[in-house]
Amino acid sequence: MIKYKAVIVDDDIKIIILVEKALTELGFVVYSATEGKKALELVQDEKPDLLVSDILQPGLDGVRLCNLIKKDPQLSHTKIFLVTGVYNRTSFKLQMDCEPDAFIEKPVDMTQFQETVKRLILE
Amino acid sequence: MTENNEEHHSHSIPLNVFEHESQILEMAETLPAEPLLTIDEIQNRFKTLTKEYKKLLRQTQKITRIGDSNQKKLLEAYDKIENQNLKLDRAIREAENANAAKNQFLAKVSHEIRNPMNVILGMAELLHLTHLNNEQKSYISNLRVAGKKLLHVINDILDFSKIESGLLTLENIDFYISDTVKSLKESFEITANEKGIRLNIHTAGNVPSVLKGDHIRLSQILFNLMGNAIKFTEKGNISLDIRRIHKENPDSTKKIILQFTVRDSGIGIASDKHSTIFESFIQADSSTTRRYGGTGLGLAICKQLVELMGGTIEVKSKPGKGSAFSFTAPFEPGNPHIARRLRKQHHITQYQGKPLNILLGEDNPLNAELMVRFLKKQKHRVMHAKHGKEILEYLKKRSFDVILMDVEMPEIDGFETTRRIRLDKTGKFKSDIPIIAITAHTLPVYKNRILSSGMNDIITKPIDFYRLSKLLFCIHPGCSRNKIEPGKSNELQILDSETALKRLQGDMGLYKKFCTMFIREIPEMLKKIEMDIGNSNYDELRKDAHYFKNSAALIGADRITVLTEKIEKIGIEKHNINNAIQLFNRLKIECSTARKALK
Repeated sequence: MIKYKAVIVDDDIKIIILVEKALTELGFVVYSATEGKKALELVQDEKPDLLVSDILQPGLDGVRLCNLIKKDPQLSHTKIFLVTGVYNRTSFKLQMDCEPDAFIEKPVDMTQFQETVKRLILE
Repeated sequence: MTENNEEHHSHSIPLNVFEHESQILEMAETLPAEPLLTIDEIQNRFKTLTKEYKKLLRQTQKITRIGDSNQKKLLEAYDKIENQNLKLDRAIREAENANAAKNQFLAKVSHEIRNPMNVILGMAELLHLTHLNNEQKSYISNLRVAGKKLLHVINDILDFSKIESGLLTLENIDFYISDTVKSLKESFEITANEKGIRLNIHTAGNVPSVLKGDHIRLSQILFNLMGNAIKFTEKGNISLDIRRIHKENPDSTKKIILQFTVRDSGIGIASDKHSTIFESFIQADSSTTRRYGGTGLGLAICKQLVELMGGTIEVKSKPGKGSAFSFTAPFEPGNPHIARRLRKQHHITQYQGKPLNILLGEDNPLNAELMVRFLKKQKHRVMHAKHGKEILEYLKKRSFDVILMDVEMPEIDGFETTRRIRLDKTGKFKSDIPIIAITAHTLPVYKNRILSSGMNDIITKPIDFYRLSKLLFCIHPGCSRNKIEPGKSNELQILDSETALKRLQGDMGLYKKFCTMFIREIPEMLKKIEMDIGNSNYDELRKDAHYFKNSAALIGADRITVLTEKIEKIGIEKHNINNAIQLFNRLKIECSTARKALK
């Protein structure tokens, strides 16, 4: 069976646990990082099918991470989900500066999240 | 016969070859391991080897000969298949295109119909609320019934095209099966009484009272089947039996499989029609349509919905003797707490909050009039803008609590208007004002687009005024929905664990883990925020409050979420540090309250 790969970056370990659980259930191998630079390294090494990134985090923030990956032709198949805070204007303004494949709203709803993964990656 | 033999023979050759090959290899490998062989022994072995080799060579040649002629045949066959594949591909593509076009057409047409239907039904609803004499009342009631029937047909068509194109997704909600039964009974009792038909609904004792699944779709299937039963039965009785069945091979022990059987003593269906009645646009007899009406989509939708849920549907029927439709559907065990809360929410009948200042953006004058009237009846103050530009102008002049906006407006549409509002830097109005989108599109893709564009919620046409009231009530301070500015924190729950647990798919272990982690984080987070405020370090304050907010939101600590969100805002706006101190003092109190609640 082909396993899908995902990288998750968030400075909140709880979100990593949650997303990891949701993705493992869908058959993903999950790599995690708590800051942006490590996440970029992981993405470049593993060439995952999915990157789930917080918008605000130490190192590279989600928007810069998104733009770097979207520019790299070797990573063209990597889908990017940006996780945004509780409905919030700052993140909304950040959202305008990049084009991820989906926005995931915090607090993350596991079912909705899995549905988005299924829709954009597994199908 | 000879052909068979040859085939058998050619099959046995490769096996032999491998046997010989491995023998040779084995022998060859043993050679250097035994250096003390006599010349004779070596010669003997060499002879055997040569013999084996020749045998092998002969067999290989034979295979090649057979192979050559086979290859030619194979190539020809390939060509044929390739050709057929091309034809098939083309046919499939044509069919797919036609199907896509059909679905698009259906979606579009139903959209065009839903818009005027909205006005018709809405106006009837409004008229119903005015003082009417008995004659007028009965006219209106007929108008409403007919309108709803028409809407039902349109929804059938739309559902059908949605299911066909795989766009229909099922919900997973906790519900009481008794609620479903009750609304069925209420809906069919009157018609049954009028026709003099007995209506029996029986739920077996082994059916759990709370289930988790898509109860709306379940009701839809049952309404369809019961509706048919009533339609095709002139006398006698109709029954619905609900029971739990235990499949012989229970792989998923957690699933509750229910069987629903709708029986009638009506006209029945000939046995040769049993297999086709579940197909679309087909009724058992085309004269049925003339006599009883209907689109012929009902059973097709039932079958598709049942299958989507993971069940099966079947029919037993004899002409003149009546029919029995029976289907199975799996459910998860439900959570009574959540089900009770959802039921309570459903019972908010009318808008009960304070009047709001509402800005309505709607280009269609009839729709606008309907909305304005409805909202004014509920004591709201309404301004009507005809397009996006006007919305922006009004916003600069007056302050509003909420914008209700048609997404499909001319000139600047709802998406662009929202973008301009959210990115506004003039400071002349609140750029975070709640925006509720009004749209006639119902596809999930479109809904996602609306929500990710910055609008807070969606109302679809024809407008469900009950839902609109509920949404407006949520904008009113006191509502705990976190999507819409929640207002005063003391009216929020300390800990909304039900909602949080639901987001975690009911995983109690995970929820407890997060709560423990959150409790551990509290002292550290408070210390950081206190320091940020002391140093007037707005950037750090924003980051730390943001982190705290998301942590609190995750476990449903709503009051902390709201307070930290306000502190985060101060960090973003970079002024009002005194306000932050006040908020921080309240935050400390809320943290200790939440801690106790968590323990």
